[in-house]
Amino acid sequence: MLAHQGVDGRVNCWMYAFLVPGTTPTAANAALSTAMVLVPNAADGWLAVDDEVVVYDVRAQACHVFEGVAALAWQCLDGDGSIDDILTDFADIFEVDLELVQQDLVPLFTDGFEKELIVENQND
Amino acid sequence: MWPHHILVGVGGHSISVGSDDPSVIEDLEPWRIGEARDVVDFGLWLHVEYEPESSGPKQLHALRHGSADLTRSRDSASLKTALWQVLGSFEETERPEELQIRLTPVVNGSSAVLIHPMWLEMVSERQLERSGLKAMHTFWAKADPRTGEVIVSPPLGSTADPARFSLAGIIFGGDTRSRARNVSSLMMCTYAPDDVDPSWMLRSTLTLADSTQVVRANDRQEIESALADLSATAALAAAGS
Repeated sequence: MLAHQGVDGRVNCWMYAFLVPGTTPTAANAALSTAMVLVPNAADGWLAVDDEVVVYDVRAQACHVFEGVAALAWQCLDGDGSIDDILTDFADIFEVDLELVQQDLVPLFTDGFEKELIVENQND
Repeated sequence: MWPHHILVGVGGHSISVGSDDPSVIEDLEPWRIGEARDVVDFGLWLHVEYEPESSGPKQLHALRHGSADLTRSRDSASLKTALWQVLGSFEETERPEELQIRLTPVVNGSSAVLIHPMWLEMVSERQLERSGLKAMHTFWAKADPRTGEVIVSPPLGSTADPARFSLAGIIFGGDTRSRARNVSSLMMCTYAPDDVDPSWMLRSTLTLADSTQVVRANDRQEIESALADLSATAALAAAGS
């Protein structure tokens, strides 16, 4: 059992947002598909610190701190694998059902996509 | 509304200054600008009338930022000095590696503790004095992450060199010990111009936070204790070196 797995076997992920009550999806970022290959928005800044990730959102001038599995997921957004690939990898690594991983991580990716913290990789 | 008012430009920022004393506005005429967007507001009340017989809380002269008091005092001269110190802190930093931080330096000799002005407001000037501390009321303090120094700009119009202090600690609210949250807290107090790489700023804030003690305090007692402890530690370190 890995450290990031909760006592009930579910993958824990947390996303804390400061000063951002919610962002309306833009036309360009209207819908997330798990087939997409996503990367952190190059306009923002991010930094891995210990087992957490700090993201500075230049549009909202706000910081987000990702902990645990959310921080790991963020660091998997390297422009190589699709969201589906990442979800499958997490299910394998944490030895949990893919459905549970989807339930926990898809909202995280969706939220990040809507806030434009993550965007579709245009370099393919 | 202020009886007297001026819009000034300092270091690329547009600053509105209001006062009940026309001489304050006259002194700022050399910095006057026309209309501007994204204006920062300050106000200086210097003619509050005291009612010695009143049993209610005594009104003090005040330097205000927006609707909040930056500092209050009966001493008009010290408040004027504070206003010019605040305005001077908007001057652009000559060193791009320095961070501009919206925290107030509380100094003791050659060291300084950085604390959010709202937190500092919980501690009286008298209490600070008893602990041998002095708050430097700036709007922006500058910090050099490479040297761990806090830099305080001279008052507006002064040609003096900036004052430099070794950073003895930073006081934030909350109760986390996470370095990432220290970065987040510091970043949210840091001026982030559009042309500066946000990843560089995150790395710099981490370097700065790692170079000193970050203490979390949540009430007046904890803040006073943290200020005293950090200053005493810094004084001991200075004495030993």
